[in-house]
Amino acid sequence: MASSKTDLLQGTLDLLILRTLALAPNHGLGISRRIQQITKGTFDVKPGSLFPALHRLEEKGWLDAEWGESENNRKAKYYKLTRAGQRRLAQETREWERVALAIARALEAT
Amino acid sequence: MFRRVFKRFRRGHAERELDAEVRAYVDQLTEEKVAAGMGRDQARREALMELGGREQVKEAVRDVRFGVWLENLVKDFAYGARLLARSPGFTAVAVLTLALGMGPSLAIFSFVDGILLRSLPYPEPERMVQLFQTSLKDGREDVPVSPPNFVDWHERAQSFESLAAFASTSEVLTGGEPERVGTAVVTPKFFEVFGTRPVMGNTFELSPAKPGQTEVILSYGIWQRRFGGRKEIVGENILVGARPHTVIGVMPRGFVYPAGIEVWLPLVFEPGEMKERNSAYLDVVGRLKAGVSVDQAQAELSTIAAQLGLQYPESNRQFGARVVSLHDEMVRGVRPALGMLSSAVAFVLLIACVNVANLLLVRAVGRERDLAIRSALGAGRTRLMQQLLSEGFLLAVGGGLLGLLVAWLSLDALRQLSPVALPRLESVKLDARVTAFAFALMGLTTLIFGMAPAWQAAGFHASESLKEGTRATCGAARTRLRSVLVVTEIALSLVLLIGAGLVLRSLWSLLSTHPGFDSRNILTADLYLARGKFREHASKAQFAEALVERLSAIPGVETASLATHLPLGGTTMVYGFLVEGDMEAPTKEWAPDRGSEPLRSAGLRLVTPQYLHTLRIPVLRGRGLLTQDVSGRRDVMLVNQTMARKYWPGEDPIGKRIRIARGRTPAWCEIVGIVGDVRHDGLHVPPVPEMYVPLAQQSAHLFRVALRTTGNPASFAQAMREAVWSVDKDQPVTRVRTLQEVIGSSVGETRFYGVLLGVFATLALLLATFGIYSVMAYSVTQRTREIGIRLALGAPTAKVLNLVVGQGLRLAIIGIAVGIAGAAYATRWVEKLLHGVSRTDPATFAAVAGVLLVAVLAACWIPARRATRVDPLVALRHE
Repeated sequence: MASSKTDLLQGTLDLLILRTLALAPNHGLGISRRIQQITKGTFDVKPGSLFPALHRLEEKGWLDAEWGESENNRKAKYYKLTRAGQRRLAQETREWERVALAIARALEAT
Repeated sequence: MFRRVFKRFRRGHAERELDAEVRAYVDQLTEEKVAAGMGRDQARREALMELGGREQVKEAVRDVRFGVWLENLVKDFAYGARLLARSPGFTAVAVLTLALGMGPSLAIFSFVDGILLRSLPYPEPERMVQLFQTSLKDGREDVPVSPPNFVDWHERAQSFESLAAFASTSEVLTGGEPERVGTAVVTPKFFEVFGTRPVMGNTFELSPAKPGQTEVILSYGIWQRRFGGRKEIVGENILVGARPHTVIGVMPRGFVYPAGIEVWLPLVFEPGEMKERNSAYLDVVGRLKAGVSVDQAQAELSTIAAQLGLQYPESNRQFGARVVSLHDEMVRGVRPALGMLSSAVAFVLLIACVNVANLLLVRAVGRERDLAIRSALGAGRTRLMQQLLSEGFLLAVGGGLLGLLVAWLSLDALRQLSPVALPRLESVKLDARVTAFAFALMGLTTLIFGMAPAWQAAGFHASESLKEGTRATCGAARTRLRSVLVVTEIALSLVLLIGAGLVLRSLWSLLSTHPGFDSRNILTADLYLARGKFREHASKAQFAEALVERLSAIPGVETASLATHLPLGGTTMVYGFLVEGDMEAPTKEWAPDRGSEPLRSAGLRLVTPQYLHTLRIPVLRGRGLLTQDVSGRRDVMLVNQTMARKYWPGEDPIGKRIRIARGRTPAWCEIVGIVGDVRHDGLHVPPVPEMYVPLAQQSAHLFRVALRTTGNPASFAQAMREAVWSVDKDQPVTRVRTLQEVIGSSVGETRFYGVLLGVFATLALLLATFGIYSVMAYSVTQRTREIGIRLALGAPTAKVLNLVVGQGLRLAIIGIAVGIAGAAYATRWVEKLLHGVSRTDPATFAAVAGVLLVAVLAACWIPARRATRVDPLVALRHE
């Protein structure tokens, strides 16, 4: 659990979800845990933000959803990245890097 | 419709999925905690808490889904608008076509809404009914009611909250500029039936009117117009029919029942009237008690009529009763015609939609690449269809708004043109309801014309269409679709044109029907004798005689006569009569095998002797009426041929005597002649039995004047008036018209529908022709390469022409065949309007098919000519 609650912008959440799914398809809880994991605990995404984001990404055609079996043999809805989603991920990553670089420069400037 | 069902199914499906997804999440979280060592119940509780409320999560998802959908929709509209703006020619043609389709539909809908759909403007209009007597013998269902019957109905019936009788006449208001107004005499509960209270003052007292009562109620219109809208009018005296009446109330604005009435007087039943059960002249309206249905009231009234039939067999045996919703009765005549017009405009709309569908199909070819790219980018099939339909909807909105404008502009002209008899004309207007219908129509038409192109276009496989040269395979299916659409257009136009053709032919036939009299050069006028002045029969007879003398003396007048009713001048009065010989068995049951019943009825006309000459009605047997046939002498009468045939089949009625049930002391009249039939009720109504009785022997308060003149009858109007005033200077002379004018209004109805149908059919033809033209033109463009090769190889231009035109003709012939089959079925709906022409009249069918064939050929000709001008070199390079 994160020590301080860090707010997530919608675009950032999208990026994290896309990144998470780039490696392998996953279901809702799995995605949340994975984001926690790869951000070393900084972001703990609650279902109230996660589900709307997942559905929006699906509606936009960047994710595909399919019902499958989870680890303990329960039914779960699995999301995976589509080709359009891959392109979106690449696009957003570039954008993020551009912005991060710009802000870093701004903070260093005298 | 498919899509709507599909979507609803998906929504339910999506809801279930969402619920399952959230449930699965909670389960997994619970499992996680249990695995970490927590107790199951505790784990579950904590999991639910972390979820943060199941409904909130689901609601958030729903919002998001809706938000995305809306965003897409807006983007689609914006994109669609941009695309349409980029091809203004296409957009203009499509919008115009849709406007031509929707405009007529909206105009007709205004009529349908105002007349049929809107309920009457009175409180609880569904409880208002009209009552008639029915003639069990000749099946007439709209016989008026006699005062004693009405009184009995009123006393015995339990189904009604209020029941009232009325009769329309007109009176002259004097004391100022003399003005004739429509008047109605009404029983006390009249205004209660309509649930309308006067805006000032009171209505008539609840007790039945006594003779000599002189109260009057004014309409709002006349109160403003003639009496300056003064508040003090209540209590004042005004002169109605030369007698002072006290104004006791003013009705609110817009209340006019019956139509055209401005003044209401109390209905006074003279004591003598109460014995005459056959003197049927009252209209009856009523308001049902709450919870009583029309059927229940009908059952009760039929029983009462049967009771009266047993109680008073000589008069009531042949009469039943009918209760019908007031609204239904008012619009009954017009309903089938409006239905027909609605179908006609639906056809026009369909043809317009088919045109636009064709245009869209053609356009879709150019959009292949664009759609393919979108598809590759991840747009699902539904999404693509949504995009294309949004574009179509924009076109529909444009067409619809333009159509509303067209309808609005033409509504005035339509109202002018419409026959006077059209009920509730005042409620026909373009208002919010019609506008709402317009928007609904926009959605509907989008689906109709947009579905096929959108479905086809979205069914692409992206990879295929990005390749070149695949047009052949996709093209075949699309060409077939276009051909089907063209055939549909031709068939629809054919049906519409045939319908219009039949009605127009009927119109022609109607106008040339011999009405049984000569209507040329006859001037008419109405004379209402003031009841106060002319009470005795003798005074009326004297007046009539003097009048005829003066009128005949006018230079240029061939003959002059008076009659209670002129041809086509409105409903006649029907009276029962007894034939001498019926009296033999007054109480015994009538013998059915004799083929006749004890009581018969016929229309009655009181006329002066010259009437037959004036109207050139032939005397077929016996003699006409003579000046010697006056009161005091032998009572005589004439019957028309229909009456003779009906009641004395195979016998000669001349010499027989009959007694008409009218007046206080009906006498036995001898039939002295048979005259030719006259179509009194309308040119399309077959003649009914009628009797002619000398005006000198029975009396009436209302005469019509008929003058046969040499030369233009209208020029004798002033001379006629002066002749009347020379006998009585206060006698108002009203409704001076030539007989031709009177007849003209009778065909007004058929003319109205004929004109409208003709306009719609022409519109349909133009649209269909244009549709065919555009399809042919496109087809030629498609085959430019092929045509170029043929020309280059030396094919004669004629052969190329045949190629193109032949294609069009093939489609036309199929379309015409389908259309004829359709028309043979569909013409049953115009049957009511037809006159003198069968509904499968071969001449009309053939003529219309011919016209359509010519139109198709013309539509093919231009593209065909263009095809022959193709430069082979250019064509070969053509893609």
